Order: sequence, then structure tokens, then C-alpha cells
Amino acid sequence: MPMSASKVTPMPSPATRAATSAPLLTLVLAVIGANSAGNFALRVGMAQVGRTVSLSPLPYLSALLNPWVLTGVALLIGWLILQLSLLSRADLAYVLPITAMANAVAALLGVFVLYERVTRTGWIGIALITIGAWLVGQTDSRTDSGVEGHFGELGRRA
Amino acid sequence: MKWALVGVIVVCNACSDLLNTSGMRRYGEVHDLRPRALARLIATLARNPRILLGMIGMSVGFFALMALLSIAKLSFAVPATAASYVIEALLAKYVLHERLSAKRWAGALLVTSGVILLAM
Repeated sequence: MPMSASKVTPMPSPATRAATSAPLLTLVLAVIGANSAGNFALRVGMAQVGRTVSLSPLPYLSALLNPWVLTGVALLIGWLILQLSLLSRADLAYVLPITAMANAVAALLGVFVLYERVTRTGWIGIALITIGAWLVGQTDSRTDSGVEGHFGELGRRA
Repeated sequence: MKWALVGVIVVCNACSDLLNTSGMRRYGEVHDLRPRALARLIATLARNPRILLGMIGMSVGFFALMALLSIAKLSFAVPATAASYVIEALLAKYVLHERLSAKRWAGALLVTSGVILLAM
């Protein structure tokens, strides 16, 4: 293997990192956005394709011909990469409740784009998810080694 | 049968999240999100055994969810599997050695109840 040509440096120097580093909040929002938009596109697409619940992969493959389904799958692949990047920088117990905001965003997309109705119980659920995610967002994003404080560069400790 | 599938989903979610998190911890922090950097990230992660096992866990969990949705409603499946949030918080504490403050517990419990109510 040629030296360093394809080598990935996991920890760039602080100077390089400052120039190219995405803030943690950006990453959190990108994860929530990709997940809710991806699931939303899949939902629209699968409604057009028809209900497919099967253990065989074939019906899923033919559903990929639908542009909404294809967009949804692409967004969810993007979500996976972003989610892994987020997990490299923040606690699992921080990432899970915060990214659960995607449930609320997906429901709101249904309300405002598809004119779906949300019950009173559902609105209470959306409110609880939002308050819970906000609370978790106030805690230190990384506690296993104390590398990052909340939302990134603010709380970096020596 | 329904609850057996719920069990499979919860176990798969927990295992894949633990594997993915510990795999990414070993990899190091990802800060550069430009397309070229992400492409290199994917190429590297494709050779990371923990991430690969995590992906297998996610796939099994996904197909178990599809199977569950074929015999039960979403309003059963989502609340029944919402236990994942609490179970994974405990695993994060005891396996990944993360600190769970009262605020974080409160937030996680609120989110769990919110997810349950929204799906009902």
C-alpha cells in the first residue's frame, strides 16, 4: 500500500480540525433531518407502491423503481453515515433521545405536507419528545472520556 | 409471536447501537463532513468488524420490524419497542461507561413517553 495515499487520519491536528470541523449541533440537525425526510419520502413512496410486507427481497427491489422510495433510501443511507459520525463524537445515551426528535419532525411533516391529523394524545407526545430532547441537549455530549462539552467546541476541556 | 418479534427488535437495536458506538469510538471522532471525507469514512468503516456486525444487527432488526408490522399495527409496534430507549441508556452506562445525570434520565424518559403517545 502506498504510504498515506489512502490512509485516513482519525484525529486531525487541531488547526486542520478547526478549518474543516462541522459543529456538533450541525451534525445533530443533519441526522434528524435526514432521518425524518428519509422516512417521510419512504412513506409517500410506499403509499404509491402499495403495502409491501414480505420476507422476500423482491417486492422491496421493485419498490425501488419509485422515485420517492429511491429518494427515501438515499436519505436513509446518508442518515446512517451521519449517525455513525455523530456516535463517534457523542454519547449513545445523548444521541438516542435527541435524534428521537425525528419522530416528532416526521409527524409534523405529515401534518403540514400531507394534511394528516394528529390526535391530542399525539400532540402531547410531540411536546414530550421536544422537551426531553431539549433537556438531554443541555447535558455534556460526551462523558466517557470528557472530550467534548455540549454542542461541541464550547466545553472542550484540557 | 408478536412479543417474540418485539424481543428480537429490542435486542437487535441494542446490540447494533452498542457495536456501532464502540466501533466509532475506536475509529476516532469524525469532524470533516465534506463528501470526499465521508466517502473515505465509508471505505474505512466497511472493513471495521464492529460496524459490520452492527449493520447485520440493524438489518435483522429491520426485517423483524417488517414481520411485526405484517401481524400487528404500528400503534402496537412502536410503543412496544420504545423500551429500547431505557434499555440502551442502561447499557450506555454499564457497557460504554457513559455518565447519566438526572437531567439526561429525565430527558430520556420524557422522549420515551412522547414516542409512545405519538404512536398511539
